Amino acid sequence: MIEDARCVPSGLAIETGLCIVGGGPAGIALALRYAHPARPTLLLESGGIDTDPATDLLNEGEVEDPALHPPAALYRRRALGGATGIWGGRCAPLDPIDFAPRAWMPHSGWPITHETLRPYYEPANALCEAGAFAYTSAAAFPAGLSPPLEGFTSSRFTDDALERFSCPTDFGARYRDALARRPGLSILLHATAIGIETDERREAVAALNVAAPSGLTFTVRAEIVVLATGGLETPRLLLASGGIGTARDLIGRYYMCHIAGVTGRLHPAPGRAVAHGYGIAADGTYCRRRLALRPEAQASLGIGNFIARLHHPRPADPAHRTGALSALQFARPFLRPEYTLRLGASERPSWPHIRNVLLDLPGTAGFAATWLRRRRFAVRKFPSVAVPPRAGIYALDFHAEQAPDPQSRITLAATRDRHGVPRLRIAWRYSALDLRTVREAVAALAADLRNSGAGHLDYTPDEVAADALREGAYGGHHLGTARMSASPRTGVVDENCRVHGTRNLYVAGGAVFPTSGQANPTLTIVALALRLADHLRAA
Amino acid sequence: MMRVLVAGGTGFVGSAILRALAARPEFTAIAAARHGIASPHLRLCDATDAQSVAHAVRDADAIVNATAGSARILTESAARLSEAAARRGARYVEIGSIAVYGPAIGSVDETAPLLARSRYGLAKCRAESAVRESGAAATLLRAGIVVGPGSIPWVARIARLLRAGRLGDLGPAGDGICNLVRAADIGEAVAHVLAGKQPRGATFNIAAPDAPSWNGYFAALAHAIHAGPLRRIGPAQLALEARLALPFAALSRAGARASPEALSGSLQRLFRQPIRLDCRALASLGIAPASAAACVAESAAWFAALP
Repeated sequence: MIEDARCVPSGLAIETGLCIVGGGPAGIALALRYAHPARPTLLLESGGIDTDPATDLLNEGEVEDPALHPPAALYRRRALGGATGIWGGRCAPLDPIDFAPRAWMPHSGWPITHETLRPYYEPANALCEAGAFAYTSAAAFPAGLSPPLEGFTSSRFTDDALERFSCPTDFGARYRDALARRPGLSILLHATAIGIETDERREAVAALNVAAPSGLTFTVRAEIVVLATGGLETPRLLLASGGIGTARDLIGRYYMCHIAGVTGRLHPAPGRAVAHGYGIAADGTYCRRRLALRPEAQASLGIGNFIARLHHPRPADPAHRTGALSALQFARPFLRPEYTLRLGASERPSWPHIRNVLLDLPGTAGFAATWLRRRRFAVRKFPSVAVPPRAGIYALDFHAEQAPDPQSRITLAATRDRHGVPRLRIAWRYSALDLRTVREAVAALAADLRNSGAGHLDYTPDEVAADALREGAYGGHHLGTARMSASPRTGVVDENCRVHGTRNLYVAGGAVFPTSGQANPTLTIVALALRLADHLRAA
Repeated sequence: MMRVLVAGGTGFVGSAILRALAARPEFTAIAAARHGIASPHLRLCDATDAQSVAHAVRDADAIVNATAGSARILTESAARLSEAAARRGARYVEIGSIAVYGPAIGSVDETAPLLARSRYGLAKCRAESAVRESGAAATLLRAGIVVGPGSIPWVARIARLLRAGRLGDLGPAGDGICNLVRAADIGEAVAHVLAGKQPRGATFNIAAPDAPSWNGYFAALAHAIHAGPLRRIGPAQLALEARLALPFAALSRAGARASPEALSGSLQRLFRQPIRLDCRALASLGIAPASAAACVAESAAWFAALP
């Protein structure tokens, strides 16, 4: 049943068994797996079926250094489906090493292992519509899938790791019907949780204060409350409520995104085939092979996890001589701000770009036709621009782990939103280890490329660091702000995602990641939510 | 030795029933059909005609109705055959359909109300009523989506649409439950029912215990017949298919026999319908239909071997 808080009377007090706050991928996965006719479940969603600007204003906040972190409201969305309404769909599980405590990375280590989460990755993959849980080319492509760079062999990198792509599936649109008819489940739209009331000993949630868009407030009393509000709103709500449980000072700390960028100039050796595009698995999903730093190499180099893909050069630099990439400069006004940011610095369309388009008309037209057919008008969308650069020179598109750092944190600003809740203040920091991860991994890759004779990577260490920080924190990956730990002294939630020192408050979503790994987080967020559903059903 | 007459015995489900009965020494099975060459194993019979039926069932100890055809044939054959069974004191089994539940959703057992509104569903409801009114010692098997070797609508048609890229992963439009059942399992159930003592008027749903979603069935069948990467079919394409199907549906109502394979609106509603046949009553008889994976494997092997 889907209802709307714009229609509830003032002073209403709702009682339910489980209350899930937030209808993003975590909340929806949890609701679909948990809901049962005998256990009433209520899912509160701050937005509606679609976004509206007034609701998204609630996401606004302060950013300490706007050069290092996107505006607080960007890459976020208050509507059923949450940020899956704008995500790119890239799926990859965390690696076993991501869960392990690593001597070379302070504050690393999860209280659970990859094995614990492994059974939930398969159904998570299905919910994300990313096909089978097969993340090596050998497993997903029995007939083989071309390697990124022919002839590349390395003891430190594997080129067999796969990333798979969701449609990208908007969980709201995809699962709305299923949620609406699930027995025992009610969804209340336009219902924004604005505060948590605790019992006298601050060990349990007594009630949630909830606001409708009009400002009218009501309460929800539930046996169990799960915050599934993402890595930014979860600490905000906990902090705004004055803290609960035992881990007050750790809430909002260890805020991680990923360290990502496009760098260097990769010259494949003559005659070596490059495959930087996508293969389609039997289940229909787009897949791509990537270069992943092996766990032994992470240990010997003393750095975080790291993957890289071959990429077209930065479109903003016309030296690539590729019409399609130059044409992207003219398409800027039609792209989402989340994507234009990653196209690079805004430049006026210049003559060299126009010349590229004119000299490469067939390539540009072919790209446009493919883009329309396989992306614009397709439901399962071609994941990204993947055109071979005419100059034959590629770039390295890397995505690296950010190490947890207590100084990187979310706090409350002095200003408040229209419901009176203090706004976010984002003080994202990177560490020397983060830059070392990127520098050392790129250096190792360059050395192994040279040694295998597959190609040559032209780069400078300073350029790598600059490219890693060019857009600052990787947008949309908000992790670690209510981290999972075995002990209340080192984290906010326990291994079952229950807030330390509380009886009935849980967290689902990216906030619980103690470390970030190299993988895009949505798949793991969904897997963790499914595991939480099983835990709550058994409890 | 029980002499069983299977009306519709040359059809897809009827022939599976005949095979199941023939495999057991306690039965002698004889087909009855409108067309064909009469033999000791096949009696020509118009099941909508009382005299023709009386002649065909002259020595039968049991009658099974697996007749297919128009709404009129479905209803009248059930009436004439069950009346004949009642007159002779013969056992009677009617092959019914999930279609009688109409647009019901959720888990549906045999006591659920019959909400059918489609022509086919209404005809099957009327057939059931006629059987009840006949007074015959009848058992009713309400079958799900019948697959297996020879299934034109649910295997061959679906497989061809998958190969053509007109079916695939339908997203929310394929979240309905596909209550697969092998024709061979219906045959087994008939044999089991006739071999045992059944209360009058007993009704049983019959479908695989682990019925997948339609998306799941499409994906498994596409994989098994090597239809190539599964295509994601969006709402725009499905809407277009439904619109293109309209004139063909009108033609077929007007009596045209052959029409192109179309994804009509009613078929698409079925793909969306989350109805799960509750088959616990059947299980209590000790009858366990094959799993969904077995249904798909057997169906795909048959389709792949077609010329």
